[in-house]
Amino acid sequence: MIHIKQLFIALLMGGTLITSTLLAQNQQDTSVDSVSTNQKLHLGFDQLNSKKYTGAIDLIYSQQIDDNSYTNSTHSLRGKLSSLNTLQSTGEPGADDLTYVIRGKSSTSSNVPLILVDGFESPIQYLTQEEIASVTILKDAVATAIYGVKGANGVILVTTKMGTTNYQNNGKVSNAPRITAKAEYGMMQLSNSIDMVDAPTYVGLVNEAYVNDGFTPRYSDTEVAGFKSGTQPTIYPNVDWANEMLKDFSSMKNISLQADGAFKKMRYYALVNYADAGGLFTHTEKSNRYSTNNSFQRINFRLNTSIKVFEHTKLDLRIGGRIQDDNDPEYGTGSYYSLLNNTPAAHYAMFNDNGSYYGNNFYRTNPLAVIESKGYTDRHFRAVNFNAALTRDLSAWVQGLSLKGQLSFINTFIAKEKYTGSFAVYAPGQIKQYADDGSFTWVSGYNEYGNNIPTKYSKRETYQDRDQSMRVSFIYDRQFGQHAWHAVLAGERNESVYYNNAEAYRDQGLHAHVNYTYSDTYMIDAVAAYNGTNSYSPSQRYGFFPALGFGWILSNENFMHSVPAIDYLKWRVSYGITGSDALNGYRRFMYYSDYDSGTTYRWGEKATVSDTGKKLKDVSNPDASFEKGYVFNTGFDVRFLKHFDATIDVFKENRIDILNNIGAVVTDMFGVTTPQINFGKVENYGMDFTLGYKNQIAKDWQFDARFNLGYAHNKIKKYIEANDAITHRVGQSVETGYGYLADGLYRTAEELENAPQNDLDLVQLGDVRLVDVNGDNHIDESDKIALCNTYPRTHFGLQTNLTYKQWTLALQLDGKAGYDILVNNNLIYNPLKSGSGNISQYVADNRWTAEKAMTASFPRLSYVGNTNNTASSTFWQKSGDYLKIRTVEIGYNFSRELINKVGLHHAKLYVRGHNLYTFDHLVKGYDPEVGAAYPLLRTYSLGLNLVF
Amino acid sequence: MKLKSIYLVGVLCSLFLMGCTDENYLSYNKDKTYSDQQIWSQYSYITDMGTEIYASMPPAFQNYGGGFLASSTDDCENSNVRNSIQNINLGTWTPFTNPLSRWTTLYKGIYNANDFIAHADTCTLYLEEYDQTTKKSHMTKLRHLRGEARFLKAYYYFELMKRYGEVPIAESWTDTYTPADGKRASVNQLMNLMEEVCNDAVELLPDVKLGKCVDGSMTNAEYKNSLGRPTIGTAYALLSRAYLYAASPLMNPDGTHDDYYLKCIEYSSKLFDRYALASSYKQLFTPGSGTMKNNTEVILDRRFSSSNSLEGSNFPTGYYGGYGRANPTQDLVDAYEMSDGSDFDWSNQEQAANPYINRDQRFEATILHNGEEMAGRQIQTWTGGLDAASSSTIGTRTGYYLEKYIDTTLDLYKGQKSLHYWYLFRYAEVLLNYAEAMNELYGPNVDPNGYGKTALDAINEVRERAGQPDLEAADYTQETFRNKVRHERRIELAFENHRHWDVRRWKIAENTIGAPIHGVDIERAVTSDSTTGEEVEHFTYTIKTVESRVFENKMYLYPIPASQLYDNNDLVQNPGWEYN
Repeated sequence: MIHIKQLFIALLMGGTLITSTLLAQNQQDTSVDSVSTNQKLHLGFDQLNSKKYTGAIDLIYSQQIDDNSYTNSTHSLRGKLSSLNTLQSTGEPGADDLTYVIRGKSSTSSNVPLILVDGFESPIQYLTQEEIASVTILKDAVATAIYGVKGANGVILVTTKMGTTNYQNNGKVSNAPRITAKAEYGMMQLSNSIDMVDAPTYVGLVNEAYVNDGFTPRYSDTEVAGFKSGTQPTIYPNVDWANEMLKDFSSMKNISLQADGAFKKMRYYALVNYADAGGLFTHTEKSNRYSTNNSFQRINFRLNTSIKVFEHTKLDLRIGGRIQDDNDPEYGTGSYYSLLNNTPAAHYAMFNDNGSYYGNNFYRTNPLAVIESKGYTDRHFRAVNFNAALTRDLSAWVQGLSLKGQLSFINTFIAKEKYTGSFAVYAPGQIKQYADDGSFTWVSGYNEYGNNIPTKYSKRETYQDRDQSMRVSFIYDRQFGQHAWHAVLAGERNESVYYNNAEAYRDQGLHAHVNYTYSDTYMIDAVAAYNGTNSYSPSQRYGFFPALGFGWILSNENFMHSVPAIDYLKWRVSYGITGSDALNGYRRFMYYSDYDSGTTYRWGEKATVSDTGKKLKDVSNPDASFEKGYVFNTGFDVRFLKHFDATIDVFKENRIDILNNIGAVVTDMFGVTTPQINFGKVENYGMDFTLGYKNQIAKDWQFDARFNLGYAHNKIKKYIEANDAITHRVGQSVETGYGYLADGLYRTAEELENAPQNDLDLVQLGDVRLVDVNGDNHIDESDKIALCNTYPRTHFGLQTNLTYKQWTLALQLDGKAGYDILVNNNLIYNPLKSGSGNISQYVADNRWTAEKAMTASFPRLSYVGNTNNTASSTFWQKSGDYLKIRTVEIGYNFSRELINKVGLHHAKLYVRGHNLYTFDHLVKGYDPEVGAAYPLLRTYSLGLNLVF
Repeated sequence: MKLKSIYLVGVLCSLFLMGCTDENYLSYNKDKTYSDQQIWSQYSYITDMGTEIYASMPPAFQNYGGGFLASSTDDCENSNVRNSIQNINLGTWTPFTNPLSRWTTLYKGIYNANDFIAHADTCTLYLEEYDQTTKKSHMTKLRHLRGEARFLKAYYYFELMKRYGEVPIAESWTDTYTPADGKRASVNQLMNLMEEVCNDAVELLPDVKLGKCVDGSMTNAEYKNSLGRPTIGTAYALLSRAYLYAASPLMNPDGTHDDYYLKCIEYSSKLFDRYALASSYKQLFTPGSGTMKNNTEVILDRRFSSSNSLEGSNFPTGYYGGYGRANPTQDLVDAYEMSDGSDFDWSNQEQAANPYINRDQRFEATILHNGEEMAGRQIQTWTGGLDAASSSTIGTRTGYYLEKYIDTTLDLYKGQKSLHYWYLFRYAEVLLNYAEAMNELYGPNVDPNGYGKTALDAINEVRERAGQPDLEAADYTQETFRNKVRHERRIELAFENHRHWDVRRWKIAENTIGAPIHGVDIERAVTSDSTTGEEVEHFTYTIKTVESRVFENKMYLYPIPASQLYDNNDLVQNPGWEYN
């Protein structure tokens, strides 16, 4: 741990040294820009002026990305791009990467977009938000077809920063670097929690559940009284585990230093960033040698340079990296959080009277013992990303032609060191006392359950992945009078080797793009790729993916000059084919049959002869191939009323040849797994909308806002399924939830009497009243229906900045709509589950009892659980719509007069809050994003930005 | 300078051209997978393929949360009321959710067996690298494996038939992965197939008599290592059982196939000189006692490496690590005769005061009861005792725990383990099959064809080993003897996964496994002896109903899994299991 800090200081000093020896000066604020202004677009294979481009894209810049205190850069894009839906499965630090979906789900298979950093495939999360210059999302066919077999799920292009010529206040070119320093300190807390019941309530509810189930009460009157009085905590415990084992706050730090600038033949950008965060668990420091808390420390660095090595030759070198050490309890951070909620207050005291861990034969997972004595995991992560491009201007041969060669290399390394221990819990009782001759007598004492083994090193696992790519492109740019030509032809190879898969993932192919623009008003893009991956057979691996786009800047036409409200108006339309080669977990190389290890069986006198069987993995499918998407898109880019800009696109995609398992229509009598075949079809349509506003609204008042909204609606058109199956996916959305129709609870004896026979479980008053949909007077699987769409069709975000003199106020909101959640968390829908579960106060307050029969909103309690009640049904269906106040920031910019004296160009102090409030329709403790998993962290931070 | 540029451009251009012309870049390294040819020529791969057929063998102890299949009968209750077996007991099983469904696994086993037979019968072994002795041993092993595959295939068809009744014979397949004949085959067709396949197996399998390989195909050491593999006797034992099932009322409702009883008798009789009963019933089911390794009674078993999970699941809850899953019912306890052969009777004051003494020895070998010594103390299932139910999911629900198969000497606290073997076929069952079939065809005490035993002889052989007095011919008619055979089968084969099927094939399920099951509440009182002053325990027993069971007529056969009927007009659901 300490070495990371030392390394950081060394890098900081080195970085400062390098940047200060590099000559040169000042800053220039790039204002918030949109597609409809003259932007140079980084398209992955080439660069093009945004006005000439006919593809549909979303674009944000550094100022919109580096406006938060997250230490995970994937969070920086949430709610900011109209086509990008972000999904988070847990708030657990270290596991909280967002996953992205562009324009909704177009496939029943993979919907993972292609993510490229500086032109090559690489994850965003290895970067810090500080080093990102822009993020471009390629949405329609004309934009993504150039990626061919990998483009259909959309493409996210991330460009890292590069220095530009800096200017002094007097407008003169400065040779000094611009140095930007940022320091943030934050306090983090859980943004959500579930109140669990205390021990007296718990035992009462357990007894109620027992009686409901037809048993005699679990706890005797003496025990109930004991829990109620609470005077004998080692016999009748009452421990609020979440309260005992969780801190109110932990802290985070984020410090970065950036330097950029340019001088004669060179431009450069450098970054060093340090971040750390502590965990929220208590009792983690039992040993002074280690902690079992969840925490991380991390350094990121980057050096980007662009050097004119010869008169016509430019070399771009980009090197970025990360060094990160994580610490987690051996039990797992998320699992431990869940253990705290799931451990009833009455099950364990922390200690026995003699100071040993409390527990017994059946309760061996004392949460205190788990965090103190089960050990921890150290994870060391290192990533380095090297990216070089050599560009040679060939204008000497052909005017406007240049040749570019690129190489990219990414290496990631993870070492997981596990330090494990184990513990025993002790219960008072009769124990065996052995005599020397091996005989024993029973005496009073503590029974030991488990083994006490001190935490020590147990194992180290390492994982190493690498990606390497190369690309050669001819680029042509020339203007003949009114005719502007831009073209690129590129050949590319990519290879990824993962630690767990000997066979590399490879792809290669040709990519071409031609743009013709007439008179800056009419433009055509023709795009094509011919590429393939090694996942499919030689005859099936390559595809040709063409796309055509047309654009017309109407505002350049005379007839538009009469509409002064419109400053700029461009219409775009495109159509083309893209592909997706993702296997989504299906067997690679399914064009070969292969054999797999099977079951181990034993023979022999002492069962010592064993053999492990071999079996055919599955039937091969030599015809398996990639999915194809046929995408139509049209849209407008517009600037109007001086202060507004907007982009709207509508699209429709037909994704075909989606891999489906033919097994759904093959009998199980066929003894080998049947293959995936290209069969499925999904139709997906929708729209994306972005609206921007920026204005000096009064003297000293500046206001800007950006609103974005994406809508996508999909429907499965073809899918392999039996015609007479109970439920069908064809006609439903990709993420349809299935289950039963419910009509509240059985509240009256009459309702129960008239109930159909229930083949799921025995039902009684207070159970969920499922509907016999098919009218056969049985409730069984044949009553299942498609219930609801569980994937948000709409997502939106709003970012606003208000400036008054030196003061700034920033607000960010985001939300989702148009979907339902089938709540299936045990704490809510199956409390007390099988004796191991807990129950929340909320459920306790709203449960069915005979007294509240007509008003209860949760089923009667059951200790053993009830399949009828926990079956997926409309009873548990809740609207997932939400709106979150994601960020509020108040800042103060120190006046120039003041700071110039100390050599500063810009200084800002701010306080910021994240994940502040959620408006939703769900039960307290259940978050629309992460459910009942480790909650999102609410952060309050204080930060200082300085620009030298 | 100019030269350098041209050089540079040249290199880049050639790289560029390579980009999409070089097919090798995307080619796949085939050496990393096995080809069919590789598999079917290497001895070790072929044996691996043979091993995989065993993957569909019936589960032993490990299923049903340690509660045994018996907990779906009137013999037992699983202490975990959420165990999936309760779906069977409460009648909430359907074509969609049947915790006991084996359709997929068994057909997979048949597919594997057919695949193996087709390849192994014709394969050319690559044996160049071996010496003469190894070559010979490998060739013999391969012959045995071909026999095992045939036996297993027949066994799996039988396992399907006893669950689902008439099932399709899936022997060949079309290009679209549909069976060439997907219609249900009749019981007769199935029996013909099993008989033919078993007789093929007999030609290939080793012959074992009284614990020795007698056909010279294995040395003694090889035989010991092959324990757990079928032999000729196993194939006959399967036919004995299969024909008995086929002849029983469920499969043979109008008695048109009583000739199946004769088949059962014939195949059973082939085992008379091959097997003999072990001397002690209790020893037979005591793990680690040594008698389980190889004895003259076991015909086929499943063998497991040393473990104590069975003890963990089934030790009384007052013992370290015990979860007390399988709880024998009072109904089973009451079924054990007194040691003099008379029935136990609660209304007999003497018997009711001390219900656990002077019983059939098999009672003590099968059931752990209150007051029984175990690991230095008495078992306490009395109310408030150490081993009484402690919650609805832990501890006995009937007042009893299981002893059969359990090593009660293990100390789980010390992590001690024992070898456990699960008997799939043993000679006592064959004798009972024989007794049942003989009685059905000829009556209790006739041996018209001279097999050497009458029905009575066979059953008395089993009873004598358990120390029970012989049955007398004079006491029985065919009718009453039928009940005696059924009773003997319940007692002798308790917890060996027979009753679940027997009550079905006899068509007596409504009154047995469909009836409420009972347990006992035991109250303990302590008094001091007036003369010695010593404390004396007194127990009073109150019979209680533990659970009402549901059995409907349709449940004589399992439902075919719903998904297997989708888009398949050939296959029709078993009666009563249809849904709209």
